[in-house]
Amino acid sequence: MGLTGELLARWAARRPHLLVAAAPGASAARLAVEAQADRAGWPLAAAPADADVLVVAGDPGPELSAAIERVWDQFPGPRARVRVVDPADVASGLAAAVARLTGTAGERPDPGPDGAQLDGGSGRHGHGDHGGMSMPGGLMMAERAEDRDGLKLDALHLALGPVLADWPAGLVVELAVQGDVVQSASARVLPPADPAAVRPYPDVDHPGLRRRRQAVAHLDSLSRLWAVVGWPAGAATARRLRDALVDDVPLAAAYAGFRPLDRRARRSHALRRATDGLGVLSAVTAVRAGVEIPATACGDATARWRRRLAETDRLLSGGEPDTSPEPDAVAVRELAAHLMVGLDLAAARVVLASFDPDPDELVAARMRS
Amino acid sequence: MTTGAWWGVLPAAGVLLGVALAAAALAGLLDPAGGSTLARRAGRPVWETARLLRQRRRGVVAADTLLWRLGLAGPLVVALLMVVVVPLGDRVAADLPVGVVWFNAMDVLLWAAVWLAGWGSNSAYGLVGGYRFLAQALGYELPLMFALTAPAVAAGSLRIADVVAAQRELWFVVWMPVAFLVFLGAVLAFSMSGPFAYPDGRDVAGGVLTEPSGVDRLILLAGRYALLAAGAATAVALFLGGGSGPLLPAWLWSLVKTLAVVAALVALRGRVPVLRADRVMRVAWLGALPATLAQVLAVAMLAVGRG
Amino acid sequence: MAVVAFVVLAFVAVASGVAVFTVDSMARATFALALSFVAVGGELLLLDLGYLGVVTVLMMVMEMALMAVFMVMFMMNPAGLMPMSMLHNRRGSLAVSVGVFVVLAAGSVFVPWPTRRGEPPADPTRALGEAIMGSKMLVMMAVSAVLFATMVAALVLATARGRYDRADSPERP
Repeated sequence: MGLTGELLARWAARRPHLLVAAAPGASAARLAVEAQADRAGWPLAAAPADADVLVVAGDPGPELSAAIERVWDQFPGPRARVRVVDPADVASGLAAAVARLTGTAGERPDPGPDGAQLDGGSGRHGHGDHGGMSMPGGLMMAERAEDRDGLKLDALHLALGPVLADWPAGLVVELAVQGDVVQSASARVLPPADPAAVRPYPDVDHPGLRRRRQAVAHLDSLSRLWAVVGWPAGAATARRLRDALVDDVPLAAAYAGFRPLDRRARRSHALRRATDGLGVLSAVTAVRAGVEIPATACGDATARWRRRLAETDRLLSGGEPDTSPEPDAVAVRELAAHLMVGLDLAAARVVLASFDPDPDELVAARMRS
Repeated sequence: MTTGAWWGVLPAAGVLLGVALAAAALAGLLDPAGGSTLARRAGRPVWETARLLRQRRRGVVAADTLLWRLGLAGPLVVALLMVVVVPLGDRVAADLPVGVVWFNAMDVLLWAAVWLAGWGSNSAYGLVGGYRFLAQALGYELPLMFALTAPAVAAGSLRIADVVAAQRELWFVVWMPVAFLVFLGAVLAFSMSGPFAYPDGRDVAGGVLTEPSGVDRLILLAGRYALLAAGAATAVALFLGGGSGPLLPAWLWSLVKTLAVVAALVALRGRVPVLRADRVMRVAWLGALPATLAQVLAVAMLAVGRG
Repeated sequence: MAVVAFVVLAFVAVASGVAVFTVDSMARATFALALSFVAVGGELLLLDLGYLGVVTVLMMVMEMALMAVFMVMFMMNPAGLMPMSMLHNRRGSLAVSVGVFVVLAAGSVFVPWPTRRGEPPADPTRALGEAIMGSKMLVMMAVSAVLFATMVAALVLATARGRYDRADSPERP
């Protein structure tokens, strides 16, 4: 490496981009990674092409591991990867990965996968298993199908997740898309290596910690929703508050920081326009779908994020932690997927993010049943 | 107004890249999550450029590499072609008699370029991003055309230098504020930022930005900032009196005003949530389009009335 | 200099026109056609028909971008990335194109072109417009505004129920 190369490497190391692939049940590790990235000024990448460091949080199961490997193969390089399980190891683990990236650790950095052609695009996971005629380059002839407007359009099968920015850990939503409209959606969670050990993040015995963690979970969901809506300022503020709460700032201080955000979000006309009327869930829909819904899931996307804000407000102002029985996570996930149908991709993602199904609870629910 | 030889394009390109760099630095400075020190934040374009120069370009299976790369380079090239007709003070690289239409035609080249940048990568997210740009373009293009018409009608000429000269007494922004605001909105839209950061949205893993890496990505990102800068420079010439102002030389006034417009646009980005295509359509066709038509009507009547 | 530019642009226009029929991808064919039109726009610029030249570029690129979208949307070829022939009805189209070429070429050779009288006008676009429209200019401009308003109104009426489940419309339960 020449002098210019070294200078480039040094400058590049100021702002490595991280792609976080989290397994269900590893919320604490993921939160620590995101907080450390924010402290260091390292952005979270939206796709492997934009990333230098792959951070695997937790212990993914075989299927999730395979998906993460596919994502790793799409890193352009130079690249580095690190796995973190214990939040206490995050700072050192990330620092070591960035050092490997620049080659300052004494070894040569991983130059990335061989060959000019990398395998597949990010949007093409799980492409090969839909039958159809195989064509050069592994492409399929598209199948046409009737669509809801009487147009006969190509059906594209697109899997959202499991490694996607601002997305619940390990969740996969398989979509059939015609034109820009989602025709069908089904969601599932890729489990971690040891599903039996998964406990939802707020599920702790100490009431003070429980209150804090519930607020953290709400702010986490809000930050994801607002990132998906495309309101980066709001998402960043919510994330900072969340990180501060994890860092044990006094509740009163967190509440003082929360109030302006709350006001801004509630008063934002543009934000309401972005979420109003999306994913309207009524008791009737739920009965038709044959599930019992929690009251917190009713209404449209706006109603759901406003309810999250209100709940966060209650918790941060010293309210008792929510002890009502956990909502049926599986039912919420099914309803969210059901409500994505008929929308375009952007609106469908907003709907899912407004429910923000908790993968930890989904895994725990599966273990219970 | 003086027109230089062909190499007059070089200073224009230099100024454009300089303003684009300033915009990127300001964007880094304003981002709360950019790092702890000011230098670290403001240096963002430097760190990012170094990172992307070091990163390898990647190909994608069955991508149309030729068209993809053409599309990726498109925004930067279009921004350069836009500024050659925009005067900096009293100097302009190419004083076209139809400069206003030229600007519009260059902006339409983006339709092809961004769609190719998304489609060419053979990725579902990229394709969605490309389509999103076209959907958005259908929304902003007509209001933009009418917003461009207003100053041309008032000046009675399509030459940008004439439009600047017609603002000796009163800047056009004063009596055509609607056209000015719509124009700035269109600048945000064709540079894919702020409420129009929809083709490169995070909800589709970056859209047109999903697949390019290394130099490819650098050129696309630089093109986005260059478009912002070119749009701001044009706004200054069409609405803010170009190089007119007291004390300072004309070229410096042009530059200062352009930087101010760029700063305002960058500061606005990120504060407003993204408008999805269906909402853009409503805003553009039911709001901005009638408003700009009314604006052009008012301007035309005033222009006729003045003789 | 201008002659060199004219010849180069003419070559680009014809070559990319040929490319439309020889490439094996929808997108490449479409954008080869767009390039051909851009070169023609450049020729018009060289003829000092600035407005027409720039508007040709503007309209044609816009049309080609939309055409590419529709072609890709309605083909069973996923995203148009599969190689495919751009030729249909070879014999018929060959006959038609040869016929058209012969007629146009014969026209350009045999028509008695007028010789120039006086100087070219200061603004050829304006002169051309007045030669074509004459005293009907005001009517045509008024009609164009009415046509445009009609198109917008028709679109708004036709898309009362859009492609999406328009959840933000008040009539939805």
